[in-house]
Amino acid sequence: MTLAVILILALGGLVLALIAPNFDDRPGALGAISGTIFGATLLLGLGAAGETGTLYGAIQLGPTTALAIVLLSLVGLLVAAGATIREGGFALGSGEVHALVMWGVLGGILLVGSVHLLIFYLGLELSAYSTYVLVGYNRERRFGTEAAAKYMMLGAVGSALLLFGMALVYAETGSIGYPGIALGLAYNTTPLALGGLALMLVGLGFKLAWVPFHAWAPDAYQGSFPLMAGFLSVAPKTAVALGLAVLLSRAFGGASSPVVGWITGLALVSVVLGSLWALLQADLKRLLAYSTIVHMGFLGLALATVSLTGYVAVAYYLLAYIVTSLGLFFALEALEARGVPSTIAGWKGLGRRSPLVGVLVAIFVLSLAGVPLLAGFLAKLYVFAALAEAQAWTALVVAVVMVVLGYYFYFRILAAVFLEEPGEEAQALEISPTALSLMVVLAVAVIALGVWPQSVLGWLQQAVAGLL
Amino acid sequence: MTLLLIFLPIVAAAFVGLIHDPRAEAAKRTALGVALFTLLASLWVYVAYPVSYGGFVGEVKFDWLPLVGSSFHVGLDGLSLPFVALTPLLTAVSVLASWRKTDKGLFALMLLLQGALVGVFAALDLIVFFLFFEAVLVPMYFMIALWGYEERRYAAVKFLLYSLVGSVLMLAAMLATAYLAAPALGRVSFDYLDLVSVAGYLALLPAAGWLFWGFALAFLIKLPAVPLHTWLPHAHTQAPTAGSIFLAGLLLKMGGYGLIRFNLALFPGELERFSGVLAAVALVSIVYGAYVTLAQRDLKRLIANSSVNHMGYVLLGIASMTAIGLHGAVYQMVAHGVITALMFLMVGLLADRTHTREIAAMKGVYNAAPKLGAILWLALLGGLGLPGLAGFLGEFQSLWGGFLGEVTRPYVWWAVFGIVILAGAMLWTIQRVLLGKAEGEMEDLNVVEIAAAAPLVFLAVLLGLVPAALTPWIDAGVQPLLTLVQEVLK
Repeated sequence: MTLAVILILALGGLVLALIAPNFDDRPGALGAISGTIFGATLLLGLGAAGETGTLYGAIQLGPTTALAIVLLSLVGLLVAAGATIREGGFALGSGEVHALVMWGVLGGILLVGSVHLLIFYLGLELSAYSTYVLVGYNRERRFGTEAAAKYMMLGAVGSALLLFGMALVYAETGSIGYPGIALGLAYNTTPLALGGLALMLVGLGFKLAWVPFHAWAPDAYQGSFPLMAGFLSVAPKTAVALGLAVLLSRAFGGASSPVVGWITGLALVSVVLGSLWALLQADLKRLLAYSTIVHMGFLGLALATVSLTGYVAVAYYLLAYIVTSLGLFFALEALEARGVPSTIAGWKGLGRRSPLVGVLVAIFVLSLAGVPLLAGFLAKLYVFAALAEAQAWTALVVAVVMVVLGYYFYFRILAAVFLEEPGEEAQALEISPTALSLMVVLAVAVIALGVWPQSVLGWLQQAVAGLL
Repeated sequence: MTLLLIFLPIVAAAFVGLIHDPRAEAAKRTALGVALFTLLASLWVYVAYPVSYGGFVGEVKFDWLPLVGSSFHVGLDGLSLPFVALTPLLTAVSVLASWRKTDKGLFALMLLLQGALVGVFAALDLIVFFLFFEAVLVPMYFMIALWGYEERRYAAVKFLLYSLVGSVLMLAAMLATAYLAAPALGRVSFDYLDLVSVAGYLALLPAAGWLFWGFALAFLIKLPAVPLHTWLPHAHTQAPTAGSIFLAGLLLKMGGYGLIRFNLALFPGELERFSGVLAAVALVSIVYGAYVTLAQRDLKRLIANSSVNHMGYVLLGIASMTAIGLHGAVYQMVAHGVITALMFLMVGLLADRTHTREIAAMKGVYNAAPKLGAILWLALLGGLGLPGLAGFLGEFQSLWGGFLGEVTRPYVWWAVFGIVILAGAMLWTIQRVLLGKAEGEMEDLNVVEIAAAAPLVFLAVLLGLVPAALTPWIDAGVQPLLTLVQEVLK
């Protein structure tokens, strides 16, 4: 079924790109096609969990790959639906958006499923190139081009470092297959091999936006359409985080402990500095970029525990972040389409202008902050539980204290939405019904995941158990 | 039944939030109805509680987060029942006190607060406790920030940040406790009863002191104890009347309740070790709280600061670790919940009429509005601990308990100054605000307002004269804890 997913996504993207010009005046139809494809792959992904073996010696079949298919198809499905929020579509054409999202998702699946650094790299680049184009989609605006250029430059540097690291690892272990690397690292970890691993981690750190490799994120978010920023905040992150977990368990086996230490360090720095910088932001998309950085830090902390609780935390965190972050970016998308600027000042009095939008935004923001009974809280709870289980007390205390800073900057958004009066010329706001229904669905998901997560957690636990 | 008491208000809050109700007519009636219904239900549980057996009633437990070892476990015992019954009562009072408000959001927030607070008092799983402990913050933040007085934004943020710092450290301590206790239990469990059963093992942990303070800080901030109290004057003063009633009547109680429920039961050895520190903090809260009360010009701020004094007795009683002291602490919490809620209610109604909270601008209120004046008079006398009213028994038992505890005894002598100073502050307030000749006309209490005050007046007198209405329940809650503590300390 994994093979079917790969083929469907690759060909689906191609077909969508080819027929796109004929549908430019009907973005809804394209969204429906794309959504159907992602819905199909989502179901196939659920079925793929039982598969075993490898596909052509390149893609590992089984629960972890299935997890990637499910999570990334969910992202694709939501983004496909979200692409229809803007009536009239995007000026540069809507079909290509769906095609690029599809290839981005495909790249993510490949990089998680690969058993081979080559496939890993190809998957990573496929997903990266799709997002480079998507970020540049806002071409009419000055920031759009700037964002895409910065993102692509830094992304290319990250990829180059990753590639260089892979080369060093290959030089020392004589293999680019995961089992071979694990074998080579098991006996002796030479300084050169460690250097290679460090460079690989730097490259992946760029993709995950860990501090100090995060500099592109705020600009990329600010310059792109909220929908693209939303896709950027979840899809590459989901893929790379899961891919890193796979690398840790299947390839770095012998050298895991230094790598895990580095991850913890990067994650802690991301959580602390990301939270501090987020306090200074006035632009919502920049603020959410720093929020992503902080969330990826929390995720890294869980990843570095290399335990079942830690991996469940990673998987649940990704799912919770997908529904929460996309919900908020859909709100931004719908409001930008109505001419509401994505700044804290622009959102003043939003709760007065449209109470329903205000409440939905509040649910997403509170979930990002980690308020109980919402998905974001349980995600953080699992991270903290993994840290406590690993007896990583310093990391635990730093992480919980940063939650307080997080509350502060998330509550700044809510304060603007609910406590400030709308500006003089502001009137009641009607946002697109598509966006509204999508946000309601996601808000319900956020609450459901926070209150009654057992079945989802059980499935995630099975999916990641194979990594240990 | 426990689930009903927690979730009915929360569901009702969602309902109130969704209906179209521009004048909040349906919202306030729904809120009042739900509060009264849950009040009756909780009273029924209260009366039916087998005080001679003790233990937990209405227990509900099901798997929630099996991998982490947390289950959704709630139950009620003699320690929690008084607060569980007080919560819907004060919700009803708050609804009546806000009868003139026309925003349905305010009433939805009150219902949310009610559900979350009952959840706090009923939780028997650390994670569930934390969940509700945090869930209280959000509605309270919005209640202060949206419906408060002039400096509401500052007060709300300060309240939120102070509370959060405490609660996240508590979360870290909870996780550490559960994972460090795992070897003794054979599994990771956040269940309160499981953890209490290995309190002896916890006492031997080298990190026990850290864990103790992780919990204690959160509760001392909530209580609040000097020097962690600086959020309280702002939050209480700036909150709307309903918010002040909730804050003073119930949110502060989460601190004292938590200290008894968790610090005493899980870490008795550490409590004994640090009881001198806690007693010193309590003494400072009592004397300093009273002294600052004396200096206030703002009537709401005055009552807020008197709470610091009142909650000092609670801490003193707990620090004594004697049966009488703990008894007094719980009694004082309930009494303070009733009397201070009544004070805030009356002051809120008074401020609505005078459009100021400045003491200097008020005069002869008793003369101008005799009903309001009389009830405020009674409340202020209750606040100074007049015998015959509820506050006296709480303060007296706390002090007596403190006197019986060897470590706390030296502090009790000095605490007496707090009583004298606070009495002075209250009497002076009575003189300045209530006595004298009225300068203008003032509308007296209407039926709704009297209905809001009546149950509190009744309880203030009842608990002052008939301690048997509360004592057996406290006994049933506290005695098993003390037995356990004795065992662990041996």
